Order: sequence, then structure tokens, then C-alpha cells
Amino acid sequence: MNEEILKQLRRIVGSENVLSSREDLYAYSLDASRLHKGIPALVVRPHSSEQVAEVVTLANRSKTPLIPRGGGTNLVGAVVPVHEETIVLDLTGMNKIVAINRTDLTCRVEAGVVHSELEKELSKHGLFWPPDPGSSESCTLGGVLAMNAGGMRALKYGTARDWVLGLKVVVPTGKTIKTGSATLKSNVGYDLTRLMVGSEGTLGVITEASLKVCPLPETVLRISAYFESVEAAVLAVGKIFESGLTPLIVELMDRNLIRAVNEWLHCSLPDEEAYLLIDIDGTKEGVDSAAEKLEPVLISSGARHLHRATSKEEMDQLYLIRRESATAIPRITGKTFITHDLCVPLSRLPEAVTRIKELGEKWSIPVAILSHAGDGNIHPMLSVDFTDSEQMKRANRFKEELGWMALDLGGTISGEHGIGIDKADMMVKECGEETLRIMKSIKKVLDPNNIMNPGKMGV
Amino acid sequence: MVSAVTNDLVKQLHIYCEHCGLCQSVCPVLRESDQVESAGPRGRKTLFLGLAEGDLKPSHSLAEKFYMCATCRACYEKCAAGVDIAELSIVARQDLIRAGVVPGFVKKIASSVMHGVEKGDIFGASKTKANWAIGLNLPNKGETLFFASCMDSSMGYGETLFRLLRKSKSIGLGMLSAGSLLQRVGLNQLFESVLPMRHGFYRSSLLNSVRSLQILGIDVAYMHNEEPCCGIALHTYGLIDEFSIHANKVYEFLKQRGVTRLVTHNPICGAAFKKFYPRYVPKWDIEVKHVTEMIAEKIVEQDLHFACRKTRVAYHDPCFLARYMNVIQEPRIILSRIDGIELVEPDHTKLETWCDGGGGVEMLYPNLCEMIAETRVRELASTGAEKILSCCPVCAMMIRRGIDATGMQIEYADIVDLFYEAATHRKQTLGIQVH
Repeated sequence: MNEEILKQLRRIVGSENVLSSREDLYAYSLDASRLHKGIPALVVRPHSSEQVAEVVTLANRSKTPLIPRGGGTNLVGAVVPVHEETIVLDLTGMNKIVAINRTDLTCRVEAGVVHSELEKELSKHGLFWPPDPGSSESCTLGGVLAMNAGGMRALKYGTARDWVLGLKVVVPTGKTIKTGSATLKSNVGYDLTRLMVGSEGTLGVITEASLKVCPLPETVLRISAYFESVEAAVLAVGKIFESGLTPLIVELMDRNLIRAVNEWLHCSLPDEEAYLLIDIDGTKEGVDSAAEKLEPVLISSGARHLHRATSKEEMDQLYLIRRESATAIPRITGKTFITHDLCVPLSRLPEAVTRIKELGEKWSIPVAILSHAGDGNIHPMLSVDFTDSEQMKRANRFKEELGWMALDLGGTISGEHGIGIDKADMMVKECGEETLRIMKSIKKVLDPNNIMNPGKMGV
Repeated sequence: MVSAVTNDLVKQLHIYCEHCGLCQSVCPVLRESDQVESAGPRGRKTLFLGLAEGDLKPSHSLAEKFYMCATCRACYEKCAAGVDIAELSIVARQDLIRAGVVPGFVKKIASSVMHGVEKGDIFGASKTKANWAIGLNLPNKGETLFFASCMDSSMGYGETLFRLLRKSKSIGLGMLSAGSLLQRVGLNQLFESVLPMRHGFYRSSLLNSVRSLQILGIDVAYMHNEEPCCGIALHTYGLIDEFSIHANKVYEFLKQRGVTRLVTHNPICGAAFKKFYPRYVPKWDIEVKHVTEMIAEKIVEQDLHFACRKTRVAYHDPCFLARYMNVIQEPRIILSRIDGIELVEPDHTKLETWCDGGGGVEMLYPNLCEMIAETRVRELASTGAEKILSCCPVCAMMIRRGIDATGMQIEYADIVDLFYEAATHRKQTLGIQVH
């Protein structure tokens, strides 16, 4: 790294916030994708929007690639450098919850606030922010917004994009812009907020966000249902919506996952082919009435066991089982798992799960099916040996065919994980040449020197 | 040359670790290091892989990243995949020692520890360490042995060393050298004469442990000055081969004395015997109990109840007691049997307890560890308790230091001291003579 740039960076953020030792840099070479690796040239740790703006200005002037990074929990290589001279901008030091407004139903946070910390603070005011990524305890809100993360509650509440009102963003030229408004409604010009959310750090650095929050529901009721096939379970999901109900979450685990959690987490879920975990939120009377309506739907759809959780401990245990189910897989298979992400219309879910299983057989790779079934989002989990290059090649082809299958069913190659490095080559097939050209044009206008997270998202 | 243990760990990390960062959310070192990735467990894992796979060369600065791990195992409890970064850090320390790149200050402390362990006391005070038991007339031999531990019986030295290291690493290390020299020529009694009060706090917990056991009808033996050091510090600093040899020697020594059960007050030594000795001593067959387990078992068995003045207490689970020895309920059982005690739990408790900065690295990174202690004390004090209770000499040192540093209006006491006071009151009312 150029000595003058180093000197300037140290002036801007302080020497202790410019990391340049080999081991400090190496620690930032991975994210939760684990498939991609790249060592940055420097890590810079700003503690204010003003510092971010100065760093970005310097990077733009020197045409140095820059990657904003939060908890490093994304699954697609979005914060892994692809250029040797890259500066990683570690925003975890910007971790203040600036304001929570109970009346306005809003809060304002810095980019480095950890998701679960916000959740904890909001709950003290009887509020919550609906997006709930699985990495809640380690991901930051800047990362959640940049990646447009979802989670189990996305079924009822949507993804991060639906719960952000406005942003403070340092654009690649180093200027700081404000997008949106802290009001619950705003209808002013192009929606740059929604453009920035999900842009994976390619259009600027989100430093602060105004979020829309909502009151915590009075209660949540949790129902477990087991089916003789994954197809039967996902058919039942369609029936739930046809009956007019909108649960909070509808999660699916296949037999591989059921067996894995029973063994690794010492659970005793019934040894069935598929498990649906369903939450209904609302008032006490409301959830009871919804459950009365839901249970017959599940039974008529072929549910073999049906169970309402009766205590907080049991509810917590079931939630934990779902959360940690993926982790249990390698303990059973002795292999690493790679989680993929695709989304199809609910009506095509049965076909999708059948075709995923067929693809597993075609490529001779064991696959478990975990799904936010209520919104058609499927996470096929491939068990692979990272050290076997031939198997990894097959796994890569498997991933591509999963994407094409989703498109074939009218779905998308990513429901919530995003594109990063992992699916950059697949963008054109989903978006089409012209749409991708427009995306690239937007990128060019905002980032003429292509410094912001280059090599990601196919732009 | 990468060891077989390292190779095995690398394989496991590739299979099980998802790099999800859950471990980061509970690491006390990362928290007090402004979230710099390499200071946390996930960063250490990445560095471990880099070192083992040849991307990183052994260096002093790399070694420091592994020596910074407090080995509190909070990350292990958080990790759904069961990845143990504390263990990984110890293995990395061993690999780096073998590569000859351990920082000077670590080497100096490790060397002093090696000398101390050999002499029977990590602070080199084997000739004076049994002073606390004068008057108890405990037999030297017996099936149930009370293992006093040098950390409890000689902690006055540890506390002084910590204070000096915190003020100045060079003064602290100078004191260490001077201390080693004095110990070698047998003048450590000099220290003893100027530090009675600092020893006294820790030694009273030993005294009250034995008295409490006696009140409950449990007779124990004590080896006095012949008690060996368990050698856990060797393990902590990555001197695994030395630890293994030492552990086998200690085992033979204990067997020759006919010991079938060890009772400790110090959970760090307890963890050494319960968790690590079985790994390195193939024949290990000695039962290991923490003193709170023995007390809880007896008071439940005899359905005993005690009383003390009304006190609101917060119990701090020592990492080594909760996460290494798996002793969580017993201290709470004891407290539940004392009328007047109102137990309040901090947010981070039981298996999810927060480290207070002890566990071995406090001598290497005293300022960092003091920050960790301050945060823990603030959390414990936020419960509204008048008193923090725990049962570990290193936690006692760190929490008391944290109280001083934060200026919080809260006291620290050992749970055994509190129990003994309550039990004595009961015995006196029953007309039973107390030793």
C-alpha cells in the first residue's frame, strides 16, 4: 500500500484503527461463505460517518478498491476481496443505537450495531424490527441492509428492504447523501433507499439507517406438524394460505435434518419425512382462533402428528432445534455443508423439492432440504468434502442447476442470501442482458472508478 | 512441521465451523478489543488455519493472538457445532512454542511457571503454602484428599504480581525474576512476612472449605507442603508435553498416598484434574469434586437449612467451574438452603457466564483483563446485589480488582465463607462445638 495513502488513513481514523499486520489482515480473508478467500491490503476501522466519507474520498482519488464490512456473516463471498490492493472498511466500531422512538415507531442506528443488540433494546420498549436473519447475534445492521437479509419472519413481514425508511450513505465519490425519510410515508422521487438496500456494498457505504419498527405481538403460538413426505408438507403450506391464514413463520425440515437434530442435539422429534414448524402471532384470542382454523387444514393435508407447544421452554427448544438444524448435518455426515438459496412461487414448491432431490441423485451429492416454506424460500444443503476438487466441481454444477430450476419454475436464484461472488455469473440469466446493463449503468454513474466492492454481483 | 493434533483440528474446523460468528458475540477479549476480528475466536480460527496450512508464518505477533484467548470457553458453549476455540488456542500455543516464536514476556512467565510447578507451587512458595492449615491437624494421608492448590494458598503473590504487571510490564517481570531468585535461595518467607493480609483473604476460603466439610461430617486429608502443583498453568501456556509428564508424576504420587477422591476449592485445579488429566494420564481413576458439590450433596442428604442476615447476592459462575467442571446447580443449592439469602442472577449466568478476565492470561495481558473484569462487575452490580459471590481464587482477584476500578458499591465474598458463617451459627445454636 502506498505510504502516502497509509499516512492519510492513519490521520483520518488514528493509527490504531489501520490494521496492516499479516495476521490482522488474514483474519479478514473469509466470510461465512467459506468457499471464497481473499486477503485485504489494509483494514480500516472508522468510528463515524465523517471518517467513512474521508476514507472513501481518499480511496476514490487513488482508485483503491474498498469493501464495507460488518459481521462478515454473509454466505456468498460478498465481503471477500478479489483485488490484492483492497481496503476492507470494518464498520463494527460504529455500533451506537442513536434513537428509539416509541410514538413514531422508528429507530435510528449506526451500521455496526449487532442485530440482536437492537432486538434486545427494542424489546425493552415493547417493539421489534421484523427482519430476523439466522446470524442475528453476529451480523450488523449495515450488513443486513446491504445484503437485504430476510429470515423466518419474512413470510409475514418481508425482508430488510421493507423495514427501512431512510439511510445515510457515503457514495463512492466520498459525498454523504440522505435517502428516504424518517417518516412512515415518503413519496419523493426515485427510491434510492430501496436501491441501496441489497446493493451489497457496490454503490456506497451505509453508515446510518432509520428503521421502521412495530409493537411486539401479545403472544406467539407454536405448532409442530409432521408429514409422510416433503411434498405433502409443502402442499399443506399452500393450503394454509388458501384458508386465509397468514402465520408468522412456516419452516420446513426434511428427514435428514430431523435425524441430524435428534442425534446431535439429543431431541426426540418423530422419525418422519418432513416437519413443519408454524408460528402464529397476535392477541391471545386471535392466535387461539387461528390455531383452531389451522389444525384441521393441516390434518386434512395429511399431517400425521400435530402438537401445540405448551410452555415457553418447549417453544424455545423448538426454535433452537430449527435454528441449529443446519449445524447438526456435518455432525452426522462427517462432511462440510454448503447452504444454497432459491425461491419459487408457493404453488411450485412441491415440484421444486422433488427436483432438488433428483438433482442430488444426478450429481451424487447428499442434499438436505431446509426451507422458509411459507414464502417459497428453499435452502438446499449439500454435504461435500472441501478437499475433494472433483466433488466440489460437481457441487458447483449442482448449485447452477438449482438456480436454473428455480428460474424454470418462475422463481429466483436468491431469496435472501444475495449474489456476492458466488452467483455473480448467474445474474445475466435471471435478469436478462438489458436489465443487467441498466444495473451496470447505475453502478457506473454512482461509482465511476469502480472502487466499491468490485467483482461482486455481476455489475 | 504440523502436529497430528493440529492436523486433526484443521480437518474438524473445515467440516464443522460455519464461520457464522456466533462465537464472536460472547468473547470478552473481542468485546474489550473494539471488535477487531483477529482478537476474537473466529479470527483465531482463521489464523489457526492459516498457520497450519502455511499461509502464515509463525511470529511473535501471531503468537500474541493465541495467547490473548482467555480460554473461558464462552464461545464453545455458544457454538452449535461444538468447535472449541480455547482448545485450539492451547494447541496453537504449543505449536508456536515448538516453532520458537513465543514473545519474551510470555516466555518469562512460562519459565517461572515451569520452575514453580516443579517445586510444588507456581509462585514458588511451597515451604509456606500450608500455613493456612496450621491448627487444623489434618492427616497427611487419606482416601479423600483436600487439594488446596497454590493459586489459593499463595495467591497473595499472584495478586501482587498482577498489580505490578498492570502498572508496568517491566516492573512486574522484574518482580517475577526477583521472586524466582528468592524462591530458589529459599527466601520467599520474606514475601510471606510482608503480605499476610493478601494471602489471608484467599487462605480463609481454604480454611472455611475444610471447616465446612468437617461440620458436615466429611473428613479430609491434606498433604501440606508436600502437595504437588497440578500443573494447569503449563497447559494454559501451551507447554503440553511438560504438562503431560507432570500430570503422570502427580498421578503416581497421589496413588502412592492411596488417594481415591480429590476435593478442590479452586475450580481451575479442579478442571485440570477432571478434564485434562484423563486425557494425558491413561490410568486416571481418581474422582474429582468441587467443594460446593460436597457441601450441596450433604445438606440435601441431611435436609439441612441455615440462616444468615438478609442479603441480596449475585452469584458469579467461574468459567472453570461452570464450563469445565460442569458444576452449576450446587452453589445455588447451597444458597437456597440459607434463609436470608436472596439470589439474583445476572444476564450472563450458569453455562453462559461471562468471564471476569481470570484463567491464566491475566498475567500476560493485565490491562485487557482488568477491562474484562470491570465489565463483568458492572453487570453483576446491575442486579442490585449487595454482594458478589463466587468460589475461585482468580475470580476473587479479578472481581475485587474490578470493584476497585469501577468504584461500584458492592462487596465480594467466597460462597464457602458465607456458608461457613451460616453453618457455624446453626451449629452454635445446636450446642455443637465448632473447630
